[in-house]
Amino acid sequence: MDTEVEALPVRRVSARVVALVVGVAVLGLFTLLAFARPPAPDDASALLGGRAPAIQGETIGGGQYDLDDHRGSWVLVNFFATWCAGCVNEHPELVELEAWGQTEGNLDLVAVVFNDDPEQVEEFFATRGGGWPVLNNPEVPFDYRVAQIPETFLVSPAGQIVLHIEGEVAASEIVRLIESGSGS
Amino acid sequence: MTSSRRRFLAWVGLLVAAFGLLVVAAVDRGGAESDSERVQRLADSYACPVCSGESVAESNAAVAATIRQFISDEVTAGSGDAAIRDRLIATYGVEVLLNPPAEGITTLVWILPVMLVVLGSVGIAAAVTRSSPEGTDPSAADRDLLEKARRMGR
Amino acid sequence: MNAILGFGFVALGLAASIFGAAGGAFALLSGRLYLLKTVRQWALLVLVAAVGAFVVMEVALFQRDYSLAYVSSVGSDETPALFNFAAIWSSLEGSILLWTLVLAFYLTAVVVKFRSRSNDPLLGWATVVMLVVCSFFFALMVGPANPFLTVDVPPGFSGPGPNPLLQNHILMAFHPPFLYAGYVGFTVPFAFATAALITGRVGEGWLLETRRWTVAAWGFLTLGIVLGAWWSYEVLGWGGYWAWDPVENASLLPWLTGTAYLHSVMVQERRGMLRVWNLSLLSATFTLTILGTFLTRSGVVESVHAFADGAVGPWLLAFFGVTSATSIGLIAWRGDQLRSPGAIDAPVSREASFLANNLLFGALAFVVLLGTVFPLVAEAWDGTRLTIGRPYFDSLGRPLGLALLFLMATAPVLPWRKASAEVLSVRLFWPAVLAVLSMAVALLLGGRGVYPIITFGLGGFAAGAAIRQVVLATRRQGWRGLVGRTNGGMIVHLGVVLLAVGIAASESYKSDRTVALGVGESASVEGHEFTYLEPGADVNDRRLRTFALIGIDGDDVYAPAVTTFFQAATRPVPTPSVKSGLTKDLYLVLDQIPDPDDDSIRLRVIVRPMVMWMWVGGALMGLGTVFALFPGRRRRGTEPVSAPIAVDDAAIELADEGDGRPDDRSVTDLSTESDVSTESDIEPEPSPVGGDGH
Repeated sequence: MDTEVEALPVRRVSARVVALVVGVAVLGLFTLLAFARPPAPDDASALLGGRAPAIQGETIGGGQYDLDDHRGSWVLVNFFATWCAGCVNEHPELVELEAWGQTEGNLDLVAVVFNDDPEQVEEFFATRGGGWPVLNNPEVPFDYRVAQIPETFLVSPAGQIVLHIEGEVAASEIVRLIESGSGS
Repeated sequence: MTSSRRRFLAWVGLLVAAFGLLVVAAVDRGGAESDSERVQRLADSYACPVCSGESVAESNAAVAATIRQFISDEVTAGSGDAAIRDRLIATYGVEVLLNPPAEGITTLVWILPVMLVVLGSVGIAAAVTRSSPEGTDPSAADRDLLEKARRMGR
Repeated sequence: MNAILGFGFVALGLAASIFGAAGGAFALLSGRLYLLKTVRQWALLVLVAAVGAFVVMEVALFQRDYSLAYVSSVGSDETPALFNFAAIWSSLEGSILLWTLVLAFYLTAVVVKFRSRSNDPLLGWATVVMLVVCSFFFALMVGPANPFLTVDVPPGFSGPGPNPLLQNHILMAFHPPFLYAGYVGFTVPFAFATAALITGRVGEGWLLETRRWTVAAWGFLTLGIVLGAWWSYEVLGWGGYWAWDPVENASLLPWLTGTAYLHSVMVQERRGMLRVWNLSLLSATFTLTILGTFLTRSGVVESVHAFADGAVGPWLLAFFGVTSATSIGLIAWRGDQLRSPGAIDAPVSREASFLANNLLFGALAFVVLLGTVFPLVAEAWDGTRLTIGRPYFDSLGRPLGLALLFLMATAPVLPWRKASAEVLSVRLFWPAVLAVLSMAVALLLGGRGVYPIITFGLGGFAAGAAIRQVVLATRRQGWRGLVGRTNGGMIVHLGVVLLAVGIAASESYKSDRTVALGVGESASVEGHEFTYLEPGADVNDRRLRTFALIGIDGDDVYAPAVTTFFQAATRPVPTPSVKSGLTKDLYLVLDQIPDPDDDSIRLRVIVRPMVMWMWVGGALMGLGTVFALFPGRRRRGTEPVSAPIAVDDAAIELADEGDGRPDDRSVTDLSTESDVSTESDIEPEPSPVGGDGH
């Protein structure tokens, strides 16, 4: 015991004190990591179940649009651009849905342009069909946290977002969902 | 003129030159910040929400394009940096900031490193200035202290 | 068949490591040192098991044996041979397999290299520590990360292949093995450090024995990190090379502490001081590699690299806890006894500059760690979700990095013990001239801004100091002036300068524009003419590659592309095309495939100056490391205890020299002598306790 005391250098911070401080810090880090949960995915899906952000303003055709006017109907909000291949692919599905919505279903469509030229959009609809309102308002994709087009949201008659699709829309899926939703 | 004096003057010349060059580098920035420079600066400081680490300016993700567009529109409309920041935080949450705000607990992320450097420098300065060749041998006072400690230990 | 064979090898490896570790510990604790010889056999068996398991997995990949779950998830019929070979480390289980293989090679190398001294308890403990680490990784493969699980697949099944991002560039075949060789390599010095703490023999002996191993591991880690940055730049298409992503940070942490160690260990070799500190740095480096592995593989932090499988998380975290508790406990137990009596003589001396170096590297490591884990702290505290990104690391990292550049210029010319203003003003004069010239040239070429210009100035300063050392050494020693640790280290310093200058220029002066182009149209960006010649596509069984041919300034044709992989459920991946040059890179990205109607594109053009300097700098760092591994000139250590301050520097250097060869040099040469031959290449004494004993 004596020899050990003698070996202690004088006037220096003991290694034990330093080890204690470091040990407490490492223990804190360990505890933190042990109880940390993997973060929940945070994208537009966070909007699910919430009230749909407003969509209003002038359409490319020159009319006025306000999502709130469509309360009471289902609304499919589609984000697209003419340069996006997936958007071109899904367009026939949307045309089909538009026809279904006007006849059997209680569904309206609205499209929001993403980074595109209005003239090209008009040409796009002229050649590929579809007559739903199209807005060119960058605030909307921003509010909907659109990450990668095509991206589509389904808004319930009560104005709530009930579905979020990343990628191409399948008409049958939407129809099935609305029919089951209306039935219940 | 002695060689050491010549060298001294040369050093003074070098220091003055370095300082002058730095002043030029700092001052001559080509006028006020243009709108596109401002958009770039702002886009650099926000995180793309779906890609870890990349900024809104760097990312190819569509959401980054949306936010770039938003920033660009706001800058054109003459909004201030703070207004743009508030709007982005309101939509995407605080995590849209790449630079953590110095508020609440987050202040620590700025204070702790500075404290570490300051304390470390003080520690090293103390270690370096305290020790002298004589100091490495325990002084008589130290031996007394040791003796005392040993007696207390028993 | 492959499954049984492979799992057999894994189980054998686990058994061999456990028996070896237990047997070795028993021999050491009971004092039956003659039993230590058997540990060598266990270690060889571990190597056989690791190689066997790895080979079985490669064979399974090439046989397209989809009955193995791992092969069915990362293999495919279409993957080309090179990427199929590399597919083994493209996912969690295989990466642990690679890790274990590298570890087994290091273990065997240690056992074989020191076979003549197998009775030495220090070596015995070091082997035991390595075997314990081996058993942990084999246990991972027996437990939560079993690469040889089987699965039933329908006939004709073909897997998705590795992650698309991992199979479109050759660099992916090299980045992980280099990184692992670096990570795992630090196990060796860590094992010796732990052994030194257990046996209480903290003389310089084990340091000399493991010095080259540490330098080699550091070199591998450096190259692994630089290759990773290069891959990110060439493949990910965002125009950058470092995103401060948690996984990148995890690789940087051990690099920072390892670099700090490589510098402070010289103080221990020369002056016998900082023993406990050096042990702590080695322990920190090893535990940080485990922490980094945990962060990468547990999914607690968001990252593009994360292997999304939480099952191994708790295991790795537990191992991190055990290794750090063991290290901290050992240091608390032994630390005070093992400290050396020496002291720093003067604030302006080589020793003091190494202390400052360690403070800066420590602070950088702290900033990186804090920035990486702090979002977790904030979320645990009040649920705030934070992002900590480039601006944070920049604003804290820049001042620290610049201070390090300054030290890099001044420290190599500082003599040990004490320096005078006179000596410094002579030795630093030409480096300072180079510094001012660098700043002036940068300004003339249009560079502006305080940070980049200071970086260029300090870069010139540090490069000047390094060049001066190399020139002095080669003038005196010929080609041998390039090898040995100090001279090799100067080459590494030059690489670091190139890297720093490249980073400063490419970050500060980049421009980024997106232009819309129809076929045949041109746009001018930053003085270059970009012409959209025509779109194109090439398709094979695996993927559709849609590209646009872009002519730059008339003659060169580049083809940025968007790649769509058929089997993997991922979005199309933009593949950039880069025109690299010594002064600037033109980086072309297509973020969407060409418009289906009129083939028009939106082309993103990023211009970044001096990116090439970074890759050259990285290569130079690797080359310098190789040079540093060659034996330099032999030299004896300095007395570990402070000596009285000599009257002038020449006298100090003479006292330092002490090997009777100082006659044919001029006084100025003499004063640099210690710098160019710090090499301590003496074979370790049989009993290295208590310093080098000269």
